[in-house]
Amino acid sequence: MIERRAPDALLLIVTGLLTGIGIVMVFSASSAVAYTQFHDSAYYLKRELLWAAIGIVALVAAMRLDYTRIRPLTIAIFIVAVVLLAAVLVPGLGFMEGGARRWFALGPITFEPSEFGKLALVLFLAGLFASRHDGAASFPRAGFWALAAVGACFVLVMREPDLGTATIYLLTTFVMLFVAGAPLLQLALEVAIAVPALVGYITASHYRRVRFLAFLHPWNDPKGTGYHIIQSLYALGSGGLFGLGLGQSRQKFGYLPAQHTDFIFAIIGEELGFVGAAAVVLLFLIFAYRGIRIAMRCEDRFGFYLAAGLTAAIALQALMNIGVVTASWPVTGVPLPFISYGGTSLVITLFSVGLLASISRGQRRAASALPARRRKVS
Amino acid sequence: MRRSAKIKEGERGRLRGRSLLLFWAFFAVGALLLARLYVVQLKDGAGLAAKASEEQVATFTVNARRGDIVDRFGTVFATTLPSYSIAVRPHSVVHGSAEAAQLAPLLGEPVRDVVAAMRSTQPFLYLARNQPKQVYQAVSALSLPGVEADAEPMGRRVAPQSEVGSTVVGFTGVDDQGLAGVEYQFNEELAGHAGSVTEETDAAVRPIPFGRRIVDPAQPGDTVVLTIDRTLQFDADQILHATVQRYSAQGGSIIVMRARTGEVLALANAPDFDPNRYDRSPAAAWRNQAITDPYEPGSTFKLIMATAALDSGKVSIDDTFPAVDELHVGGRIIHNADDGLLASGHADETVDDIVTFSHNVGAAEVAMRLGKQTMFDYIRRFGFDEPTGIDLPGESAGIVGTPDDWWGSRLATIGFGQGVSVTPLSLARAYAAVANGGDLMRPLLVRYLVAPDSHIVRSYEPQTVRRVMAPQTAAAVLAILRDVVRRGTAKGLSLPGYALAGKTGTAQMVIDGQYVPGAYTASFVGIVPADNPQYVILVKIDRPEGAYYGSVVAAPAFLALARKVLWREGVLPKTPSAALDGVGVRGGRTAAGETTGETRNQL
Repeated sequence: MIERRAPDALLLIVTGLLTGIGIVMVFSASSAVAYTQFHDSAYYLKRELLWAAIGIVALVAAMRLDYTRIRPLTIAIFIVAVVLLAAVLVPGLGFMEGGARRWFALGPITFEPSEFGKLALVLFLAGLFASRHDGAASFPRAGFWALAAVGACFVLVMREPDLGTATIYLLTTFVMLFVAGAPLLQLALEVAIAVPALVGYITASHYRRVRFLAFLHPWNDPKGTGYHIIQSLYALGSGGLFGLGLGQSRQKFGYLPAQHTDFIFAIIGEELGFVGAAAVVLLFLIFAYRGIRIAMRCEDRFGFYLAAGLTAAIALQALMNIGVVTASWPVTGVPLPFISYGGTSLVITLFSVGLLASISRGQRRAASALPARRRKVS
Repeated sequence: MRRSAKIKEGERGRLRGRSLLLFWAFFAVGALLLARLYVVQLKDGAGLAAKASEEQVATFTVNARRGDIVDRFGTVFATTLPSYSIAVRPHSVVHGSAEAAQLAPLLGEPVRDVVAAMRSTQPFLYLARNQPKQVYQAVSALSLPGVEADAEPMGRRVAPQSEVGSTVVGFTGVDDQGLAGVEYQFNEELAGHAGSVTEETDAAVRPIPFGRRIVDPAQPGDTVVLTIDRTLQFDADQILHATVQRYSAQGGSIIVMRARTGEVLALANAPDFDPNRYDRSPAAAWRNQAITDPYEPGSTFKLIMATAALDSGKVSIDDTFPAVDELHVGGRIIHNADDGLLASGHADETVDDIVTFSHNVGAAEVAMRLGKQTMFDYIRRFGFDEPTGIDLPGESAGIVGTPDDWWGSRLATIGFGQGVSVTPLSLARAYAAVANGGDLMRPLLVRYLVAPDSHIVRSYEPQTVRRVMAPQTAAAVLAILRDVVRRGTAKGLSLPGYALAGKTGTAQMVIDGQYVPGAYTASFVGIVPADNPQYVILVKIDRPEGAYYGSVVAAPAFLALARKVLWREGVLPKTPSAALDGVGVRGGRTAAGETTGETRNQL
């Protein structure tokens, strides 16, 4: 028997650093608002710590798990996810906040099915592509099912509405199709259909169009559609090279909206400067590098597709979030993985890292050619 | 279950190629974002930071307390008290009627009005402004939801003396800016400098913890110490108003001035007003007529003629003029006043006689002998052609013209104070020059500016403008003014124990450029004590009814005030017992009779 390898250390170190930065920055960014709202500066910190603890448990569990054992469950998990995505839209079940119905609320605990849906989609696609020796090369056998799956999720999430997460679904699926060997012509066709459709949808409503394009000219409406972007740029600009110092953000005092969630990167830039912000970007690039390296080293198809998909989902979301905060991309609200406040996102992300770590460990193999069905110790 | 298929060798190359492409795509996007961060944080960072700072910093004004206006002994004429506003936010009110029932009696408002305010659809309404502290405390103690009691930022300006000295002190407007009188003239010194607090705030403009904070403390205004004596001001006000009322007069002015220094101890005008409710008086009542309104002084101006005559050397004290009651000059006839002291019957008269009996014909003859230039020179020496320079707004110069436009009878009439207009203050100052031996003083109204920490910021010293006449002239003119009381138009005017000097004036009023028949200005300008001249007291009554001679209308007011001034200033009578009797300290008919006789002899 050949035992499994040690997990990818750099992946775990980067994950630890990002999660640590996240906890510190959530505390810094949220303390003022938390005090105003709850008279407890550590209100969000306490919850974030709790979720981080749950996330670490999930990470360790996933790391110890033989990822191949999930494969038979991918379709079931996906169906559960779709059901949850549909259920959250039902008034009374889904909890409405800020004009969007995105959460299940179970007492003090909230659960965001779209985060779970992201993982379920990646699992489903990995299982789908792994089942075929040619991956996604065949449209009727693979590509079609992939588009059908993402289409269902996309439509449901857009109903919440959550354009950001829905976009992540599309991009992740696209990346996985690409990696799984979908013909370039097919991919080009998909882009040629999806992009005009999205653009058409967005520009159909004046409100959506103005908001979507506000990142190009935020100063045209500094109190309205440009407000988020301008406040974000103020925060980043105030940071300069080395930042105002940890805890010294001014923009977190009610100026920058979503300062501990979708726009937390702006607070990082304000407090830790270009140095801190660039470090976070580099950590995500290292993360992407290790994730893809894990995929490339994986010896089985499911592990390969799963590692590529999980890495893509996290890296895409990070790049998109930073793109929004730096006004390089339209305001499509997604949390910054590991860092933004949000329980479901953190737990799912850490669980995903756990799966990546598990894939990095490889499978236990019998010395013989015959596959071993049982293992005693991992 | 299906085992995850092993990746075959050919397949691996394809998967790796696309995976590497994916990584480089991520890397490229990451590099672009780093470039973007460089632009936002470093290249444009300073500009964005400056704009952010503008938004994050708020500046609040800290009002400076306005300084007080006090009299020479510190009695307060104007001060600023803390005051409070009571306001309601109707949407936070629970019942309305219950709260109103508690509030209305505290505010002195009808319950119905307060209920209406409580049920208003406005987000915020003042129920009462500028309330005293007791109301603030009472309302705060109720702690009614939706009802707020707050300090007014400026406090409330109050004039504790009400009408007394009001035309001098003036008043302030809604923003506490001086609008009249000393409040206006010393507005900058009184106002001080508002301070500010600049601090970093959150989006709701609350200061953030450990934020930067720049405090520019407010500098409270200085206190203005007047030369006015509130006690004498009160006496002057009372006597003026009593006189005005007694003769149903249109108005009048009284000035009490220290002859040697030019200090104004009292300056009263009728009508006046209550600075606390200045808007309830007509604007005309706000005027300090004694400095803003030149009038034709009439015979009190003969002082100038006499001074010019004696000081220029063109007329000696013994020179005589024909005693007649009519004179044809420049196409008009000048008459002496038919007051029982006509010139006819006398052979001729000296300058002393002319002034003592207030003969217009004589005065005209003297003026014509002096000539236009000499007369004009003395008018200018007395400073009638310019404002006196008192520290009050709106002062007017006299209307004296120039010798070139003194045609016809004007030189002659100026000799007895017609065809020339001066302010009461400038006339009082001319008498002060005679009383102090010939120096024209700049009238002093303010003694000190005192900073909040009690150090004297500025001290105002007596200022001699110029020497008007030789001391001998002053002494001679003063002697003439004593003759007026002793044997002339003010004969019988006496204050036991004191020597008096002065001049009566009865002038036809000029209204809109026309002499109005039956409208007179009755005045008396006196110098006390005449044997040691220290105070000039000017009394001017406009358009009295029933009587109009200065000796009848104005002189008694002068006498009453002179007694107050002398006692207040500690100038003792020459015969103390008699004087004491006169002021009612000691009774006794016999003693009174004796001393009155004695005083007469002495005078």
